[in-house]
Parts: sequence; structure tokens; C-alpha cells
Amino acid sequence: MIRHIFQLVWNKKRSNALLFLEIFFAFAILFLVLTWVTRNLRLFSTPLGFETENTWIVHLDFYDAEDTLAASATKVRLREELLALPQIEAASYGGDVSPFSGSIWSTNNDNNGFMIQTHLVFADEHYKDAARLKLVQGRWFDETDRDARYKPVVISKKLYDESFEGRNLQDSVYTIDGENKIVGVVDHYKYHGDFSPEYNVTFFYEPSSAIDMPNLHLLLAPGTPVAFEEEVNRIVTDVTGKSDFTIEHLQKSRDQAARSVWVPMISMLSICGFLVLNVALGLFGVLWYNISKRRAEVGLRRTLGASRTEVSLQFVGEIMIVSLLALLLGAVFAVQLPLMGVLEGEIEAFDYYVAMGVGAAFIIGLVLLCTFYPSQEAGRLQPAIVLHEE
Amino acid sequence: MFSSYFKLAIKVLGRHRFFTFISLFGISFTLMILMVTTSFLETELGSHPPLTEKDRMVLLPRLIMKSLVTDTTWTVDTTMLDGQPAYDSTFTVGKQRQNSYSSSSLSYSFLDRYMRDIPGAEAHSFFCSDTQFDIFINGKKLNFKTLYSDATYWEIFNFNFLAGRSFQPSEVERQVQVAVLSRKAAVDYFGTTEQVVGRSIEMDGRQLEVIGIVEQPSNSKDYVTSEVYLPLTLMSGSALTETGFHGPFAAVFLAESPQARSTIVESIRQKADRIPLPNPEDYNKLELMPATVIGLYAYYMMPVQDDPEGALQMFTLVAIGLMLLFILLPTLNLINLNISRAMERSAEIGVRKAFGAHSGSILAQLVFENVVLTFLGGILGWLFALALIYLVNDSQVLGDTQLQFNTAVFLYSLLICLVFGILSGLLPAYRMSKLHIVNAIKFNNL
Repeated sequence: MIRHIFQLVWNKKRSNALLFLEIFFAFAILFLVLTWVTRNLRLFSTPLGFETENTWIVHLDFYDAEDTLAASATKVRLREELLALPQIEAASYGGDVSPFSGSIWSTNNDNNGFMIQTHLVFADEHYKDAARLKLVQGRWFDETDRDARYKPVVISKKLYDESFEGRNLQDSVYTIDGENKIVGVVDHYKYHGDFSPEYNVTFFYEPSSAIDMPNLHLLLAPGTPVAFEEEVNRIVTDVTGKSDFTIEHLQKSRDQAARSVWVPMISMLSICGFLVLNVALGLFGVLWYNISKRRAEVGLRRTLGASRTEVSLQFVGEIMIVSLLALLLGAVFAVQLPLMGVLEGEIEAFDYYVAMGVGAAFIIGLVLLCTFYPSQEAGRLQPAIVLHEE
Repeated sequence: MFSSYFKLAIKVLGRHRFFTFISLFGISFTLMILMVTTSFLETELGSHPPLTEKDRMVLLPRLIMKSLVTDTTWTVDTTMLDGQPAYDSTFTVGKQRQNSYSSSSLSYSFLDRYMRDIPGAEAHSFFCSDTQFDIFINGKKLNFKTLYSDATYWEIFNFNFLAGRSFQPSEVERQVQVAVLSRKAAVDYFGTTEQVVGRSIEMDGRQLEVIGIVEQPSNSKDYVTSEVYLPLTLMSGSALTETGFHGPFAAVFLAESPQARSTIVESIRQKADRIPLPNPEDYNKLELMPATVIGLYAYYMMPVQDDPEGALQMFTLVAIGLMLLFILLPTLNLINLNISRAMERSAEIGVRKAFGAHSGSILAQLVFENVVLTFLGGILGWLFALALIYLVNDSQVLGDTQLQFNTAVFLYSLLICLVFGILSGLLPAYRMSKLHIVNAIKFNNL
């Protein structure tokens, strides 16, 4: 049976070649787009690790302060004054690298005898509460860290797993950026957005009063009205005497960062959907036409005792073989990407294989769907009628 | 002759509604996507105000400092020479390795000191588009992006002034408290653009007199898009006196002609090698990244570090590749359909050939029919494209970018239709025109 179908396919190789090409390219496009989508969804599935709801960041700037001591005192006073308001639950100063800003500060070294690659984030002792970070080991910074002999750091679980698994954190000093003592591990900190890869992160301690900690994170009580922002704005202006600051709503920035991935992803998927629909309709049309040309053949087979299902199966089988061959060729090309590690680090082998599987399954399903109706029709042809036509 | 071809084409379309629907669906959707893409590229990269002179501009948005170290490996051999140990040391110089890296926009003092006289530049301007202000008016928060610039900024970028004027060099020098607003900012703050010139706006703790209103740029390039434009001397603090190389500024240079841009790019690059670094222990290599308008656009889209020209090449390659892949599938589909449909007309073609028609004229007829079909699809696609552009602009999916559909895009679309029609019609038509008369007439069984 299979051999017969191969023979039939081969006999019509010219028209099948086009079909073959069409399915091959449909698979190629689907594979590429789905790889990208799988990657994004995989990244999206890990939690962000910090609070964005009801969080504002006041972007201040104290770098041009002439009297740094006075500026430090102002910073501390501003925090205390804002914290006194019932609407504000927590307040913390952070460094220039703030979430969703796109800034990166990274370092790498092998001074400890093993490789450490990490991003640097600066935080004070209140940041854990303001961002609702979750610690899986040790503790967050506290007052005592101010005079610590070795600069205390908190690392993310990803960095821990990658470089510190099984090592002693309690009594050791590691070189990350200077000599550091690791005091705690947080579970996640995906500060570039929901769709960003999770980077290794190390939090470095800086006290709230430091001049290079310009961004004030505020955690608001749930249900705080938007109008409250004007009050915060007034207090900041009064205390600091500045007006060139902005208040960022962290949730909005998060949504915006995510939207910059959602929008192209959805438009790519809909373009892809259209292409596939186009192919499906074309397949349907061509098949229908081919069957109507081969009515006599169907009639003959039926008179010689073939059942309806056998006739239907023959047509489905012909298209299926062409499609499977095209998919096979597509898969041979596609599998090169994970094997050669194209874009390693950005896209994992897992993404490629999922995309290949889903893409192939989708195309097979589509082909089955498109061949189903015309081949059923073919099975239903009455031998007496079609042979009479001939 | 073409009118009869045309009549025939319409008749054929009406015969098999389902096939016509499939073909038109594929064509119109493909052309819609292509038209929207062209419109997008034309909006982003075309010469619209304020970037009417974009082909003569060179931007300098970034300064890079690197620390390059060479790995040196020492090998010490100990040998016994006359009963005494002797040491023989050799060293090999390895590859240059990048130790630290810092890339950012530039400081005003750096630009002022080194970038004033670049050979080939007719005019230059320094500006800072990095500042934002929150303004509260009637309980509503307005977030105004502010661009500080010198007076030549207005000569290089041709903004469309709805009212008033730009600020003059003397006003910049004397720190006159004036502001140019965008249309959106004027509407947000005053509720209107009528008679706003002369009124004052409170920002940054001072009263600024509005002297002009400009039309919003239709695309989102950060060096022209802003809500408020102020003289750079109004910047607070030490922004203008800071002596480090990194800062919030960028520069733009205007070449005499598009070809002269390369002179500017070259001289900026060469200049970077001659500028002494302030802290040679930390960084020992300075690089400047000059870019054309299109190069900078590609640089922001592509993951290429510090190389706008490389980014542009990659962008062009990726764009063409994607386009081809995208057109390929509907074309194949259409070819497939056309072959099936043309077979149906083998009798007609056989008869025409029997009465002496050349293969060429059969080919022309079939291709022409396909082009008619494509243009029908094109009209549909054009309507869809207009609707989609309206939706995209209305929902502000692309942020500030407002897609336009102008004559240029229309002409591109016509071209696309024609190419698409010929491409998808040629192979089926060629096959049919080569059909033997006998076979063609014999297969008339439909």
C-alpha cells in the first residue's frame, strides 16, 4: 500500500514538488517564529522576584551637590518624612541601576579559582522590605554592615547555583568586586522585565545616606489614590529644594517592558497564522481540484472492490507522504541550530526542539484537516456515475 | 487586445468563486502586510520634518572607553651551567584582551573642547535629551520630556512651527527663560495651541515664556522627539562644566552633501585616537561612535555593539531575508493554485493555439490575467492596510510613531503588486503556453 502511494506521488512529482516546497517553507517559518515564542514564554515562566504593584521610584540626583554631608542628611530626612505618612509602607534608596531602566553593570573574574560572572546592583538595608524580596538563605543587610570589615553582599540563587553550590558561605571571603562576604541568597531578581533572561545578580550594600544612591523606592499601602503623588512630589520638592526629579510607577514600567515583547510576538504570530491559513486554503483547493480530475480512477478502484475508507486513505496518504518528506527535510535543517549551538545563551536547545515538535505537529494536523473533507468526498463518489462520465 | 484579456480575466474569476476567494485572500493579506511594512519603514526612515536633511546628518550619540590589556606569559627555565643554576626567562605576548568597558553619551565640556571644528561639517549642534519633569496641573500629572539644545539645533533640524519661533543664539547665551513646546505639550498644559505663544509655563521651579510651538515628529527618535525644548544654558547644576568625558549630551553634524558624511565620520574616528584620556590607569582606549540617521536606527534594533554600520548591514540583511521568506510562501501557494486553475482551461488554450496563437501571446495573456487578479487583491489589501494603519495609530501600539500612507508608499505598493503578480503568474503561464495542442484539446473533460 505504502509503496503504491510512493509510486503515485513519484508519478506526479512536478506538481508535488511545489506542494513539498510550500510545506517545507511553512515549517521553516513556523519553526523560527515558534523558537522565539518558546524562548519568550520560557523566560516569562520564572517569577520576577520583586514587588512592582503599588511601587513608585523617585528618581533623584545628588551628584552635583557641593556639600555632600548636607545632601546625605537631606536624603535621610526625606526618607523619614515620607515614611511618616500612613500611605507609605516602606522606603529604600537604590543605586543608578534601577529595574526596567535597561542599565547594566556587570563584572566577571576568576580570582577565587572559579569563574564568577554577575551583574551589580546597589541596595540599602531597607530594600528587602520595599521590594518584598524573598531570601532563601542567610539574611538581608542590616545596620551592622555599615562598618563591616569585608563588604557584605547578597547574591541571587542563580549565581549561587552556578558558582557557589557546595561552597562554604559562612566563614569565607570571596572576591566579587573587592573582598566580599556573602551574607544571604535571594531566590529571583529579574530586574530587566518579565521577558528578560534571569541574570546572575549580586546586591552590594550602600547606606541610605550615600550620594550615589539616588533612586528612592516607595512601597505604598494598597488602594492609595493617584492624587497622593502630588503630595509626594510636594514633599520631595520641599525637603530637597529640587524640581528636576520624576516619579516612576514601577508597574507601568514593567507593563511597558513586557509590551515591547508582547506586541512584536503577537504580530509575528498573527502573520504566521495568516501564512499557515493561506497554505491550508491553498492545499484544500489544490486537493479538491486534483480529486475532481481523478474521478474516473476512484470509480475504477471502487468497482474493483476498494472500500470508501480505502479510497479516502489513499488521498490522505499521498498528501501525508509529501508533507512528511518536506517536514523531514525541514527537521534536518532545523536540528542544525541546536546542534551547532546557534545563539547559545540567548536560545536554549530546549526552545528549538519544542518549536520543531509543535511546528511539525501543527502542520500535520493542518494537512489532515485540509485533506479530510475532499478525500471523504472522493470516497463518497458513486462508481456508476463517475465511470459513466468517462 | 488587453481589453479582451481583461474581460476574460473577470469572467474566469467569476467562474470558480471558491478559488477566486482563496487567491484574493492570500494576495490581499500578503500585500496588506507588505504595504504596512513599507509605510512603517517610510515613516521611520523617510525624509520627514524635522529630519528633512537626514541624508546629510552625522550623529555622535556615544563615547566608549576601554581598558585593553595584553596577557603576558613568563616562562623561567632553570639549567645547570658550570655547576651553577642559571635562569633563562622567556615571555610571550598574548592577545589583547578587554578588561573594562564603559559606554555612554557625552559630556558638554568634551564636545565643546574637541568637537567644535570637525572638517567637512557645515554646522553642528550639541543637545541633551535625557531630562524629564513631572508637572502637576489641575491635579493631573504631566510627564514632560525635555530637550536642551543650542540655537543651531533649529537650523539642522527643520521643525514644522505651528506658531512662534525658535530661540536665538543671543537668547541661549543670556540664559533667557524661553521654551518651545510640542503641539501635544501645549494641548496638555494649556488645553489649546491657539495663542499660547507669549504665555508662560511653570517648570523646574521657574516661569518660562513660550515662544514657539512645533508639530510632533511622526516617528520616535529620541534626538528630535520631546515635549519641551529649552536653551541648554538653562540646565541645572554642573551639567555644562563637568569635566569627565561621559555626560548626558549628544552631537549632530551637518555635512555639505550626503557623500561628505564619510569625511565627518572619518575625522571623528581619527580624532578619538589623539585625545588624551583623563584616567589612563582605568581606561587606555577611547572610541567615538559616529552614526548616520539610518545607521543609528539599525544600531538600536540590532544586537551589535558600538558598530552602527555593521548594524545597518545586518538590519538590511535580516529585513530582506524576512521579506523574501514572507513573500515566498504566498507566491508558492498562488503558483500551485494557478497551475490547477490553468489546467482547467487547457481546452481554450488548445483552441487558441490551433488557430495560430503564439506561445508568447498565451503567456502574456495568462500573466496579464494574474496581474489583474493581483491588482484586485492589491486594492483589497490597500483598504485593509489603511484600516490596519488607522488601528495601529489609534491604539498607539508603536508609541509616538504615527504611520503615514503617502504617495511614496502608494508607488512602492503598486510596484509590489506588479512584481507579485508577474512572479506568481509566470511559471503556470509558461507551463500552459508550452502545452501541445493535441493534449490540450484532448483533456477537455471538465
